[in-house]
Amino acid sequence: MNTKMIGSILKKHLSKKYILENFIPDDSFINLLGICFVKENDSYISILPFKPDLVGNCEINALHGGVTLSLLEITAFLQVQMEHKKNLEKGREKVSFNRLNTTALNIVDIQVDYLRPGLANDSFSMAKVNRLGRRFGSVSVIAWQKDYKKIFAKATIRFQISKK
Amino acid sequence: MKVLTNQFNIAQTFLQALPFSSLLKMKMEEAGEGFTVISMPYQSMVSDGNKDGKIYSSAISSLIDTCGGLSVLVHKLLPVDTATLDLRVDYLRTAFPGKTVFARAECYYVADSVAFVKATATDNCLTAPIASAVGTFAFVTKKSVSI
Repeated sequence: MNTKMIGSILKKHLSKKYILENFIPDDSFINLLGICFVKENDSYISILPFKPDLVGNCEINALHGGVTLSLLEITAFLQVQMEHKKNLEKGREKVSFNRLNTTALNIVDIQVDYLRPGLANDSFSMAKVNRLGRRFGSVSVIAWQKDYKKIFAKATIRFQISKK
Repeated sequence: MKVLTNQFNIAQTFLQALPFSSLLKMKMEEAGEGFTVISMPYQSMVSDGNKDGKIYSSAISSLIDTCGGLSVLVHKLLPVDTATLDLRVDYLRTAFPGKTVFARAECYYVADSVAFVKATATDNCLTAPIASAVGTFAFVTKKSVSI
């Protein structure tokens, strides 16, 4: 996705009405953090509005490392889930497990780099699926605040797709 | 049995000052020179049926991140502040429903201003951990220097 496109998406989803119309999360942990999602052209952008509850360093009012990590992980999870669903629909005859609800995604590991402190602003995050095969997948995720070019955290996540 | 040490007091004061830790109801269990043990109730992670898969694993990483930070604060140089530089978490298995999760972090080496930490998360089963992690943390020992 190029920078121009992201700029236009950001302009669009910064209006709160648009965010609320697009995605209402129903998982309790996502609700606890208050993450919202916008789906645009087959990619998710997560928005984490700042709350005083999420602070992990009271002196500079920075986000807790766990909050950043959760934001990255949830974004990656949704992106992989969507692409996996798409893959299944495309090659329905080829795969033996053609019903999505029998398939589970496991996170094998996650590696996070904290590049800057996450300050008291709204945070955004976007994932890019590097490879999604039939058994394993690898995803890169970035998170940024005011400026898209200044990312404050970055993660690589590996997924395992298991048949049940 | 809890042994109340100086390190325990330092870590507990710090833990109680963090808003996110109180949101997830984290509790201090044990502390000594360079290591800490904290716990988190299952209800903090997720409750409604877990239909989205294993999203609550990020709650376990939050616990590990907090625990790692605390273990850096109680090592022998007694820093005043710390920040995570990087963290790698391996999820080994899913947590058993309804059980309290414990995390134990150990700060095993301290360089000039970087501390190296190993951590594991378990529920009451001693043999199989839920997750294991390695991380590096930056720290400052004097108040006058800011990160």
